[in-house]
Formats: sequence, C-alpha cells, structure tokens
Amino acid sequence: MPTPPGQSSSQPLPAKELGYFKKIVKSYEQKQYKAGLKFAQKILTSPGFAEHGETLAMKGLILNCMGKLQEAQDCVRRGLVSDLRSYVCWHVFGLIQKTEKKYDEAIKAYKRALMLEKDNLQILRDLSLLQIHIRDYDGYLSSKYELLQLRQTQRVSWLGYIVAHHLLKEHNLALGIMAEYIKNNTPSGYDFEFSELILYQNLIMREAGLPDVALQKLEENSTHIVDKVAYMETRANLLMDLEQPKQAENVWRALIERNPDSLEYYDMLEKCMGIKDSPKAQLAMLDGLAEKFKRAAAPRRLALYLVEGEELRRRLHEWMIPMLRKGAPSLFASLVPLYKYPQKQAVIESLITEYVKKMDDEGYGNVSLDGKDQECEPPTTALWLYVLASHHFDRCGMTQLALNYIERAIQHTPTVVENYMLKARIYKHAGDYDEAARWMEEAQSLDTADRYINGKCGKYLLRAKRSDEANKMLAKFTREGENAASHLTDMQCMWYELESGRAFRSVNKYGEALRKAHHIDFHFNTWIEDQYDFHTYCLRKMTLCSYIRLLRMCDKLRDADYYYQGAKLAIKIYLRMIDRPDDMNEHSALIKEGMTDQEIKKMKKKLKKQKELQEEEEKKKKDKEQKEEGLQRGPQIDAEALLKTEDPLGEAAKFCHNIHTFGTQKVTGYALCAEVYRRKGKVLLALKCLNEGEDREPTHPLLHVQKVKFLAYWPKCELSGLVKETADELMKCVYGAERDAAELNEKFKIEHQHDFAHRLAYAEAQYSIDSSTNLISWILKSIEDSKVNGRSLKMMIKLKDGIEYGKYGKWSKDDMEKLRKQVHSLFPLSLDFGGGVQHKSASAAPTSAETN
Amino acid sequence: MGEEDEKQQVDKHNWGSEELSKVSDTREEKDDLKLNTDALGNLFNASAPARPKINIKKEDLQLIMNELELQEGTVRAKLIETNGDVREALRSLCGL
Repeated sequence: MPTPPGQSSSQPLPAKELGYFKKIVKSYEQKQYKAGLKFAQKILTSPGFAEHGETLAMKGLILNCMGKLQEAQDCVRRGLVSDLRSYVCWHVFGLIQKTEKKYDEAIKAYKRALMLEKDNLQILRDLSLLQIHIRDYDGYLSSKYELLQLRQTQRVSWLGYIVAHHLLKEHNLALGIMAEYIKNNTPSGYDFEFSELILYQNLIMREAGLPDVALQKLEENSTHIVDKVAYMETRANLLMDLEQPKQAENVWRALIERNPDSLEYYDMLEKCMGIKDSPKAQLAMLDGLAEKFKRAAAPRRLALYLVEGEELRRRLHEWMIPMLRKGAPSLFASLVPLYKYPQKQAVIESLITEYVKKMDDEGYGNVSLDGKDQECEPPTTALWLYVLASHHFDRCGMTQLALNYIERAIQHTPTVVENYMLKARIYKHAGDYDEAARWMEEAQSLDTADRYINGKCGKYLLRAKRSDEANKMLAKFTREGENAASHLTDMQCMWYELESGRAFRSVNKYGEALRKAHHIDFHFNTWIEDQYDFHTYCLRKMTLCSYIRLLRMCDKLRDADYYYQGAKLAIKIYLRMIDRPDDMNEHSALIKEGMTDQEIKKMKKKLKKQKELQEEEEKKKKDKEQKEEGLQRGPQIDAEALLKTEDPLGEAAKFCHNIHTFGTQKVTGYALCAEVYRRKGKVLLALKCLNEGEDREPTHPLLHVQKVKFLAYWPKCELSGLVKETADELMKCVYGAERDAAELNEKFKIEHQHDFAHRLAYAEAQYSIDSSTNLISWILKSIEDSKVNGRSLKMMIKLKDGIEYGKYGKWSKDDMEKLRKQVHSLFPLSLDFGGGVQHKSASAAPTSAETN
Repeated sequence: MGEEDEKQQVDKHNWGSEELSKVSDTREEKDDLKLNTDALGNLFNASAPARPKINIKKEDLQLIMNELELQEGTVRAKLIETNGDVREALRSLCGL
C-alpha cells in the first residue's frame, strides 16, 4: 500500500494538523499557492511543529512555484534536515534541485525517495522525465519498465516503454511491444491518436532498416492514417528506398497536385526521374507542370535557374511583368540566386534598362511592357519597376544608380513605406549608417503602428551606434513602464541581443557586449529547458513522431545561426581580453600618449561619469527589487563581472564547444575554434576543427590563417602515446605532407592572388609567423588593383579593424591616411573611411576619425 | 480568493502563458487499454531491461574528457559504442 504524504514522516502529525497538511497538498495541486502557504503556516505555528519536515518541504515547493527561489531552497533544506526518513522531503528536495538545473543531484534525491517509498508512481514519473531530459536512456528505460509494471493498462506507460527502446536503438523490442499494443487496441473508426501511432511505428521500422515491412504496414493501415500528406510523403520516400522510382514518381506527382508550390517535391521528383544531371530534362518536366498548374510559381521560378542567355531573357520577361503589375514584393528575392553568375546578372540588367527606357519614351500612362497595344500598364507598374531597378543596382554595388531609381520611385508615390526602407538599405550597404538610420526613421514615421518597421528602425539605429535612441524607438512596442532592453530579453528577441551587443562592441563597451552574447546563450538554455514539459505532453497526446523530432532537435539546438553569431561575438571579445587587455577599459581610446593635462581631466570626468552611472544603476536595481519582491526574472548577468574573468580562454572554449560539436557547415566557425584551442594547448581539438573546416571549404581564407598558425605551433607540441598517434593522423588529413608554415603560406598566396580576402589572409598569416614582415604597401596596392576580386566595403572594414587590432603589422599615420583615401575613393559614402552624406545644417556631421 | 490573484496576473501580455500552463497539467492519464495478459507476461519475460556490461577504464574516460573537453556522459556513451576501445573512441570523436 502506498503511504500518503503526511503519514510517511518520522514526525507524525495529529489529526487536526494532518487535515491542514492534506489541504496544503490539495492547494498545491490546484495551484492555489497563497492558500497553501496559509495552511502551512498554521502547522508551523502549532507548538512542537515549527520544524515539521514535510510541511517545510511543501511550503518550499509552493514558494518555488511562486518564483521565490532562495526562500524555497532554504525551506526545503530545513525540511530535509528535520526529517531525513521522509520520502516526501527527498522528493521535494529533488524537485527543487531540478529547478536549479542540478539534474544529477535531483536524480540522486529521487532515487533516495524511491528507496524509502518503493513504487511511488509520481516519483518514478519525475525520475523518468529527468532521465529522458538528460538523455540517460538506460535509466529512462528501467524507470519506464517499473511504471509499466505498476500501471499496465495505461497508455502512456506503454508508449514510454516503446520510446525508451526506440531511443536505445533496440528497434526489434520496440516493434514487438508496439505490435502487441496495436493488436489489442485497433480502433474501428476515425482516431487521430491511432493514426499518429501508426506513423510512429513506421518511423521505427524505417530506422530499423526495414523499408519493405514499413511499406507493407503503411499500406495495411492506410485507412487509419488521418494525416494524408504525411502518409503520401512517407510512402514516396519508402518507394524510393526500395528502388521503385516509377511508383515513387507517381506519388510525388500526386503530392505536387496537392501543393504545386513545394520546392522539395520538385527536387524529389527530379531524383526519381533520374534527371538531376540533365537541365534539359528538368526544364521539360518543369514546363510540363507549369502548363498543368497555371497559377503555380514554383515550376516557373525553378526554370529560371536552369537557363541562360536569350532563353533566360524570355523567361525572365514572362516572370517579371505580371509581378511588376501586381507589385509583388518577392520579385527581387526570386532573382537573387541568379546574381551568382555575372552573365545572368547582365541579362537582368538589360531587361530592366529596356523597361525603364520604354517607360521613359512612351510615358507611363500609355506604355505596355509586353508590347500588346490594347493593354496599357497600370500606373503602379512604373513604381515597382523603379523599385526593382533600385534593388538591382544596390545589389551590384552601384550605389548612385540605386539611389537615383529609389528617388524616382519616391517621387512617383511618396507614401510607400518600403521605398524609404530600401533607400535606408542602400545607404547601409554603402556604409553610411547615420544616413541609413535617418531614412529608416522617415519610413517609420509613415507607419508608426507597424511593428516590423519599428524593429527595422531600431536595428538601423543600433548600426549607427545610437543604442539609447534605438531603445527609445523600440520602447514604442514593448511593455509600458519597462526598459525596452530588458523586455526584449524577456521576449527572447535574438536579433536585438545580437545587434545591441555589436553596437556596444563598436563603442568599446565590451562588458555590455559580452552580456548580450551571454543572453543569447541563456535563451538557448531556456529553450532546452522548455522541452521538459513535452516529455509528458507528447506521450499523452500520442504525437510521437513530432516528439522524437523535438528530442533530436534539442540535441543540436545550438547549431543555429543566432547561436553562432552570439558565440562569435563573445569569443572574439575573450580573445581581445588576452591580446589587448587595455581595450577593456571603454575609455582607453580617449587617452593617448603625451596628453598629460587633458588625460587627468578626462580621467576625472570619466570617474565622475562612472560614479553617476553606477549610482543610477543601483537605484534602478533597488526600484526593481522593490517592485518584484525578490522575484528574479530573466538572466542575471553582470557586465563588469564578465570582464573580470580569470580565464577568458576557458570561457571562450565553452562557446566553441557548441560551435564545432554539432557538425556545423560554417567553415569560419571551425577556424575560430581552432584559434581558441590552439592557444589553449588543446592540440586534438584544434586539429579536429581544422580537419572539419578542411572538409567544408579547404581554401577559405580564415581557415588558411589558422592552418598556418597551427603549423607554426606544431613543432612546439609535446605529445605522446595515443594522443600523439591521433594527432599525427589528423595532421596528415589536414596538411598532407606539408610541414613548413611559410611554404604553405607562399603557395596559398600564389594560388589565390586574385582574391582580396585571400590576400589579407596571406598577410595575416605571414605577420603571425614573422613579425618583421612588411606587407603594408602590398596591401595598399591590392586595394587599387582591379585584377583583385572581392574588394568589398565589408572586407575594407575588416582590414581596418584588423590593422587596429595589430594583425597586419604597424601602420603609421601616413599609411592609415593612404588607406583611408584609397578606400574613400572606392566607397565615398562609407563613414568608416571619412565619407558619408554631409548635411548643411548639421554641423556635427561625424567624421571617421572620431567616431571610431 | 487565491484564484482571483492568479487571474489578475494573466494580463493581456501574458495570455499565452495560460495556454502554456495546460501543457504541464498533471491530469490523470487514460486508463482503458485492453491487453492479452499472456502476451504481456511473455513480453516482460523476454525483454527485462538487462543492459550488456562494458568495462570502461577510468583513465580512458579521463584521457578523452581532458583532451576533448567533453562531459563524462558523452565520453562514456562513446566508449560503450566502441566496446571500450579507447583508440576507436578518440578517433571517432575527432571525426576520423
């Protein structure tokens, strides 16, 4: 017989108190926390029961649910100390450890509780949840086994046990139990849950490598499957696995009939038809389907990417005209894949200029772009044509033309918000972030009720390093009376964390920037935490295929671009802490040699400012605490504390772990990790990352820099035994027979002399192995050399930042001025190189030297 | 009275949290399965969760944890996968 709570204690309660205790438990279950606390108080104030263990435990549990974490901890600990032989106290102690994310501790506590009270269902359930949460599949299996024996007629017991076997890849056992379950419980009619179960059975069969059985079962049960699309997709995939492409083709065609705009279906169809290598056959297939599905965009769009020259021109014409007439905002986006090829780009350009000329010659009141006399274009065609032209020239880096066209579009219709957004975007691409923000504010002012444009505006202000204004702008859409930044953190708004972090970095507030990067990490933790509730929910709802997908997604959740961007921000700051510790003082840029008097003044000012800021912050904190009565919400990360870390490399390595572990495709990620691990002396990890990078993109400039740096470091490694063997093997994979860093670098220089990024990589690598190198004039020449590709503004800014960091040797003031002038002539609008739009009225137009 | 307090907290910004709290409800599960008890007994006899024991050396565990900065659980799982072969585990974790 199970012991009810309250009677399991070594401190038995008299009848009246026991009654209160039962009410506490009930209040807790019904989430009436305040009532629960009152009953607890009644027991705890009775003489002799001030330290009643189980009451303290329940009180702690309730406090925990109310967010009073510290108080809850104290209560539960006190309870456990008073009554070590109560399973309730141990169970609650485990629950509290779980909210503290001390999973191992929690599992130990649950197990202690189970030793005291064998076969307690609730504790077993909680234990199994944590086991699956930390992916202890063995433990999960044995807990589910116990649960199944205790509750043999309960669905979830069975499902949990099947899932456990499946996750352990014991497919046959999982399928055997599933078969038994299905045999006795097949419903007669429509049953969504059964449908899900059949699909799950099929998933296991496929993973067990039994496509033939899977297909057979799928057909047998086809009438039970409610999700027809899932049924058809599974069937098509199975037929492909079983090498029956003809039948599979029919299924994909039937799916296209259901949804002719799914790109995946077309891809699979090409595979089935065996026409992946034949653009001609692909085109015929797409044209056939385009004929059949008149309104479908996908077959027409996919065809655009297969053709060239006149044919491309003809198809583009047919593609673009209806979209220009409709004003489809996605028109430019659909053309983007063509910009990889200069010849295709030229076709687009010739079409656009032809349209514009026609429009100019005939006047947009009576022109017809496809030459049919009876029709004339609606007045908006001209507008969208100018917008498209502007997009096009912006993409090609022809800023002035892009601006001319967007100006024409604005003249045509001055009230279209998107026009101003595009104008802002052009300035952003040209490097004038102030002007970009100005136009985005203009766009925002035209539609203050639109959250999207509000967000864009905030982002552009952050790019212009105006964090305070950005927050004010964003506050229009965040909770009233609360700081926009903390609300956006509550909302797990990732773009904001990232842009805001970068904005702080650009004004040398590295602590604040780090804090934002850690917020991103925190959000990912929260999401992984959030899966906890689904361990019960999905079993109950029988959505097992989705559940398995959820588990697998959570396993590599951090393989997401936002995580990578945030990690990169953090890692680079940690490396800067080591390379340039003086940078960490945000005012260091202001204090220069030989300015003693002013230096003192500035120091005083700075100190004063800091004091004020600190006081202000403390005041804010106090206010907040008062408001929330000790309730802690969101990440509690202190910027100053982050800067004071003793082990920046270790902190960086924590982020690195999540970049390279999940097999990301980002070669730059592996390069960055290699840098950290090399410095940390983790030879195998550094080599692993270099090797993974080598598999992805062996000639990537950043990877090359790391390869040279590591090769130069290699002779200094002292390894032995198994580690040495493994390292030698990896060395062969990465470098072949090459063991000379300088030689490797020279080869790279010759092979990639026409790429600017590669040239910079060569230079950085060369400086790292030989500090007496002088490549300054070579770099300066590269900037002006029209034979060198990829001399983009982005690369120029990277060069400038790299010079300031010290990656490219010592640059004199004259050298820097040369650099500025050269880049300025290429990118006259870039603020970083002394350009930008000058406003007559604004005397405080920023110049590059001061803002950076 | 307690309930009222709870309701007030659910303002317009938090409407989603009420929905979400349903996810973590601990409703009693459906209890209506029909099962053939004989078959059940067979299943339990056939598949009592006995896991194969693999001998894992502590120094192997330590070596890989230290070289590759991995958690014990990850390394242990990999060593089980390779039947305790440390060389194979290390190579596999290095992507070889």
